[in-house]
Amino acid sequence: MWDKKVVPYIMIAPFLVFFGIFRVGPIFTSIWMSLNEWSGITAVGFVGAKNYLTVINDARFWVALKNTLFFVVVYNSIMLSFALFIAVIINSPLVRGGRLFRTIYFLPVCMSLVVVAFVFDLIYGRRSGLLNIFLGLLHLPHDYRWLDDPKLAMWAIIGMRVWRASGYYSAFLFAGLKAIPIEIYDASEMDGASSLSTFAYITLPLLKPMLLFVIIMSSIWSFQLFDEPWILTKGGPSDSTLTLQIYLYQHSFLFNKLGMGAAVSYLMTLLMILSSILYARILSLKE
Amino acid sequence: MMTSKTRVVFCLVALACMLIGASAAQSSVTITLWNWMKYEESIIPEFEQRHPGIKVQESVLGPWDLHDKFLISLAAGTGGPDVAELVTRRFSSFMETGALTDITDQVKGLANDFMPSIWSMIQSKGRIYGLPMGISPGVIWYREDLFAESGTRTEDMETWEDYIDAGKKLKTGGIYLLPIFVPPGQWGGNQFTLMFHSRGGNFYTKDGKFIQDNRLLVDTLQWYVDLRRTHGVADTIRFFTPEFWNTLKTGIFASWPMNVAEGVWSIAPNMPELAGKWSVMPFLRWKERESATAGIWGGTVYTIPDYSQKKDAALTFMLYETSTTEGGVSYAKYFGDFPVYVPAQKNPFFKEVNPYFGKCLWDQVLPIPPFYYFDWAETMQILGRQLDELFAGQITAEKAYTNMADEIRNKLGR
Repeated sequence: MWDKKVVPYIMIAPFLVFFGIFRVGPIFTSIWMSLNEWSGITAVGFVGAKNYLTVINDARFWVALKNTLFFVVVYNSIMLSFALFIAVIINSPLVRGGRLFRTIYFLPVCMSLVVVAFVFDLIYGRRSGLLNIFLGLLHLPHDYRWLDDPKLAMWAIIGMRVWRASGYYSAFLFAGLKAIPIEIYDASEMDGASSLSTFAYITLPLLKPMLLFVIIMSSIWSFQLFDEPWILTKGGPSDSTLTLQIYLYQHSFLFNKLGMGAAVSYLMTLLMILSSILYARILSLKE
Repeated sequence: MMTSKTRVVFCLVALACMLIGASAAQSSVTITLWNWMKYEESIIPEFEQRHPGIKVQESVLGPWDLHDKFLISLAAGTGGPDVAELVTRRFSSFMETGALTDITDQVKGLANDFMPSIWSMIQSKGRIYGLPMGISPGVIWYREDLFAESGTRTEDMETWEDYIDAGKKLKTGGIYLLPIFVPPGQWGGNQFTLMFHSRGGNFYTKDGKFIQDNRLLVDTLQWYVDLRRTHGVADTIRFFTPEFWNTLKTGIFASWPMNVAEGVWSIAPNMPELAGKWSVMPFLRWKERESATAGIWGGTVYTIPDYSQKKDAALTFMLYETSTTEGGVSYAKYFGDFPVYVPAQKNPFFKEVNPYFGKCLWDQVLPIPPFYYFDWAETMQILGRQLDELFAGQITAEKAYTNMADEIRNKLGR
């Protein structure tokens, strides 16, 4: 009897040990790091909240925060709309080959980001880019500097990310749609509800749990936006694509200010927690 | 069945074999090298032939990946190479870590064999922590045919003003004189610095203070933005993108001030069909200076981390690469860069005519004025943002300078 009680704990002990060392340990280390001035190599100097105050007083931090929030709101709005649209279309009984379409839409997220960035570099090229050439064919203005113009660069990043992520999240929403009992749709059809009413009053409310999960997951990942702007624009032009993650990386690894980088990471964590609570509250209120 | 005597003999023979094997293993040292240019088929075999007791195990990484990982290894005190190749402009930041090997006593006698302006870049507080390999000096790559068609004799160009005048002639035919890299930051800031350095300019003094009232910097910022805004001879483009190579191939840009290695690395391989049309000339003279000098794009430095257990072998490799004629010639031959080691520069190899360009590339390299790198990553980020705003017409050159001075003072304390 004693053995049976102890065995489960013995079984999970290795995981707990590794989790403690490699997950929990670094969290406490980084909290400590954020309260110190440290280049990663030279001596550590305790500075208390100085790193947090330095970050909050840095104009670039607020630029990065503004850019990140802009990206989170705009990108998620556009991407989730697309993802939901794709999921609803694929879920429709009128569409044949749903599995094939799901695979096609999922492919972008499986592609190497470096390859995707290279292709979008070609698409966004000013003189020979596909997008400008296409606009020229439609006799529209087409001399856009998609990645060089501070007003356009973030939109270009959003476009690339929407293309890459819509299919991935549509898979989750598709699963959520599949979980809605078909009898409910039958009942609404018998009651004479239109497609739009059915979507607004039946599909969306019943999809809410999955929608909340997708919004929170997508928001957390979009708060951590780094790869696309770093590869394409390095946070420029004029810091127009500078995100919190790039700001963190620059301070930690380029400027050798690990303490400040750690402080930024905890400010980001706070932001993500607050936004997750906000999403959950908004979607709960609508219930 | 073995007798006891046989067993004893067998054991003794086995022990002797083990000792001989161990001894053989110890007589050969293997050092690890991190670099971003593959030496495996060129420099390493030559070195190993000359130093049979030292093997070099190479790991090729992307340049910025290498710097990040090397920094982490210095912080950890392990996990890195015995020799690392770093870019000169970031070397001062690595010296400040205190985690590099001080090689002053072993190499101080070499000072007179290296270009003085570069020798100063590998020292901190009078101590030496690395050896410079190449310097990436600036030259002007240009399309001889396009200049000729526009009515410019390039041999008559002496100053940067002459260069701009040539650009105005090219512009009448719809051709730009040179590209300006955007967005700045890593590459765009570097391009500006290349020109500023060639003018004898510096951001910092030798002891790391930001130069106050730096009129030369303000004037060069104005000159740089005027290339596009006033004269219209330059256009902005993203660096090293397929579109950039396309513009060079199709003659949208007629010239490219850049480091000497680009000829071998980029122009010739990317545009083989334009052999004989691309040529090269030295940097031109700034009007207020008596003679022309070149800036540097980057340059490389070898260094040994303090945690290395094979410092002697690592230093032997470094000395071969950086301080012998054979090493310097190999580096130039395979990678197209100009060695800092002065005796190597006198080798007949550096008089050979390049068949693609029809000229000796090395004859185009001019003397390099001193330059001081401090907190370079952050300095370039600050400069880059000011260049962005300057080119967007949001600020003047004067304002760009004062913004830069304020930010460097507040953030870097320099």
